[in-house]
Amino acid sequence: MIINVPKQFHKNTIIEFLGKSESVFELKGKRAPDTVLNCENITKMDMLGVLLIYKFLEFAVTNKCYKNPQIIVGEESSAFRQAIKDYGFEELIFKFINNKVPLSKDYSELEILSDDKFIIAPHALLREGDYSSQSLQNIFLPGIEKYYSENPKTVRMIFTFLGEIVLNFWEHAVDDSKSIIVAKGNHDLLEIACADTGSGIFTSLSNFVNEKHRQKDKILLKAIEQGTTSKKGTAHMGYGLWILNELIKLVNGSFHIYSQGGYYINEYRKIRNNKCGYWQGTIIYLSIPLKNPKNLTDIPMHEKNQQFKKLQLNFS
Amino acid sequence: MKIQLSDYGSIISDKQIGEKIYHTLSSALKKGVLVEIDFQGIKSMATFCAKQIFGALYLELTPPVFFEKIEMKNVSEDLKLIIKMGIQDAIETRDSGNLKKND
Repeated sequence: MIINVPKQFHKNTIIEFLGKSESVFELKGKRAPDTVLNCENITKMDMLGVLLIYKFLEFAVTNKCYKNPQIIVGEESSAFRQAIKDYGFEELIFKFINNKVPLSKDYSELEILSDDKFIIAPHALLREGDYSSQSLQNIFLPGIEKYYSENPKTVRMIFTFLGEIVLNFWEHAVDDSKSIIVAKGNHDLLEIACADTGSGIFTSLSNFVNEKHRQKDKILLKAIEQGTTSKKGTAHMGYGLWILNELIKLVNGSFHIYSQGGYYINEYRKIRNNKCGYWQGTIIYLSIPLKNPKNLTDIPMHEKNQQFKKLQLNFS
Repeated sequence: MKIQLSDYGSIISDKQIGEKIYHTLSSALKKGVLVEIDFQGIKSMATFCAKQIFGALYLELTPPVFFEKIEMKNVSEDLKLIIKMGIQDAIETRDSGNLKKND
């Protein structure tokens, strides 16, 4: 079987890739022969495309899905080789190509921070030790804060996005399935992508929603509603995806969720929601315009605000 | 007792850190001392952590005691909202009868 990666592999061709790659999730331990992942024809690939190639390889290698698989990466100067280098994935991807599993220390941290743009190279959200927490607090966040230091409202908005994304992936990764976060930005736009091969939104929520939403696509509409959580009665509030979606609407950006055969896309406030190729786990992608930053207080919450007035809090 | 929240990082979005903060505050409050929490330098807090820390304490202490014993300084409007969301959700969880301890 040949899996041809889309020639232009970016946020608009993710669904095409999921359709071509979904069989890997049925091959756990099966060592299927004669499989080729063809990346040679790629002419353009963005951060999200690189992340998904990486997660695909990671799943295939660690779960022994294929016997002697081949990956065609093209010449040194190919678009694929250049993209994995640009986004800090080169070493990690070549470890998998050489049938080795990267260790925690192999994941990069803040790699590139220049005057005109920054790229956050792949950062694993691991729960082992303090690795992720410390590197996020000490490297990732200060780097972003410094870059956007002229606009504190932008910094607060970005940190709200990151806080909810990181916590969601961290808390829903049932088996420390190496959620990877990447980001890149300039002064006009920030893109954040995160993916795991954990249990996925359908598995998490299907027992907690009504029949109408118990479908691979419809469940994602429910997931972005305020208060939807699989962990009722705990500190989980089910606000994470709702906050991301509401802020994206306010800044007129893009928010994509792909999980277990369904997708939800909010692109410039136009919603698309349907079934797609299966991805075990969840992929989230955000494109956040920064010219007119918004914060939580900009989200209309009239009913809640009435309830909040009754709380007895001493803010000085 | 004064607690500088930024000692735990500029973004509070980690369950373990949330637990640490909750236990620090809870221990101090059990001794009957007034607690002043300074939010200077805090850029964001995940709603989960707001409920985990402030929602839990609001229910345990009762609203008048929470008001009397905990003073929150230098809190941005966004953080105020996050704290209110966390507390309100804790109240609703309790009222729905779904509250699970220690989670």
